[in-house]
Amino acid sequence: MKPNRSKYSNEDYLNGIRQHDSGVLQYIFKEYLPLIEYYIISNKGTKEAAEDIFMDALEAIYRKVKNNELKLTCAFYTFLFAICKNLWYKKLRGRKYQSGVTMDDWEVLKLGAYPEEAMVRTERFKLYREKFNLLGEDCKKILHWFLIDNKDMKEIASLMGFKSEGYARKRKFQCKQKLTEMIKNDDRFEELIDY
Amino acid sequence: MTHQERSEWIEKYLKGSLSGKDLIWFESQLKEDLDLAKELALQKDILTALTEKDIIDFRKKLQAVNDEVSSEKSKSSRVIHIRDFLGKAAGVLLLIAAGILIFFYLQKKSYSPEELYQAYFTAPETIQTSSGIDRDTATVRSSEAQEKIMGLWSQVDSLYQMTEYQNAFDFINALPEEIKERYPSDINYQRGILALLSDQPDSAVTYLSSVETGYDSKKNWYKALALLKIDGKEEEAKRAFEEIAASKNPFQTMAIEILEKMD
Repeated sequence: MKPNRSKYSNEDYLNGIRQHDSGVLQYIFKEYLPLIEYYIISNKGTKEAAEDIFMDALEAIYRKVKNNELKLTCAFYTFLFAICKNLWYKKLRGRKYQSGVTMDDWEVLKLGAYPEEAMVRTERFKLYREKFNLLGEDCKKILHWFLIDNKDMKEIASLMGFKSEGYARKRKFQCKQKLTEMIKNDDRFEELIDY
Repeated sequence: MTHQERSEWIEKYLKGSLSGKDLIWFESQLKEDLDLAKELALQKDILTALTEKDIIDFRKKLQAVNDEVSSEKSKSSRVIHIRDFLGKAAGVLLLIAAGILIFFYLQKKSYSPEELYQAYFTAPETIQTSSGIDRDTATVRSSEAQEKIMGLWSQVDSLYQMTEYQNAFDFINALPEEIKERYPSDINYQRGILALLSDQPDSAVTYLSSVETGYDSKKNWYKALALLKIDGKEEEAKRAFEEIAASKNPFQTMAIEILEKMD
């Protein structure tokens, strides 16, 4: 008996990712994550690292498809697998584990054809969000209100119960400084920002 | 300018609240002060990262899907053996039905090698192997190592089941060398079947000829079929089918039928 055909076409995959479609995403996780897990676990990784890399790769693809910048010239899985491999390779290189890693040269050479910018942006922004989440609750509130909700400092001072707007400004500055320091002190920062 | 003032200038610039002389002055500072420009770039980047709502939603969605699939996987592992059995039983019934149809069809006329190939070729139900569990008698393998190897065969078969033959091939090529060296016959058998399904009969013959242990009847059967597909190899194919027809094996009857049709 002939094996079954893949359920989705390349276009289905890309549209599904663009629209956050649960059916397509579930299919991708069910069919392809185990393969990536095997690859990463075989190359000094863990199941958790594989899940992380897998989601980073999907985010990188999403960044490209949402702007209609991605035209696949190979099977979706081939593309996804190559991005995961490259992300993992970079991570290992960053940890100075380069020797002993199985990585065919052609995979590395093909890097140029992949969404390098989207991949780096994905990793960099993930780093920023990770560090933001490590801030104390007060800092998170102040920065969220100021940066995301665009509240003015007078309102923030009132919401936080500070005596003056000046003190609120000072606290906001300290929180931003703390965030920036944490980001800059992370080993990944130099590699990601140099892009 | 204090650090705090510097930070506030950057914020105002990013929020678009600078204008007139202030804007001109700040932009001239950016040109002269590389550190200020770098600081601005970082603050802009952080602001974008924290305000990309669609990306943040997408990551939440991915995490939710991952959690859901992991939980489904743990439930479905209980029924996987029953599904496996039913799948194989259905496969056997279809093979019997196909065999009967082929028998009646081939009674009526003679066939070219390509037609015979089309009539008799059926892709294997699976290319998964149990190597790593039932071999390796010389080495005691840990259950973790066995699980890893079985996981590998399962990944290859999974791509095969999705008809992603090239991807399965690439996956095999990217495997750690130690696995390729330990299981050359399994890997050559898989490569042979994948080559045959990718319409590369020459490569299929090469790979299947390199299978040294196991797969005896299957290896010979698919190699003989591959030879049928190669121009000028009809005689070689015939000899291969004669060898299959000469001894008892699951493909003996079909090999005899093919030989009758080739005469």
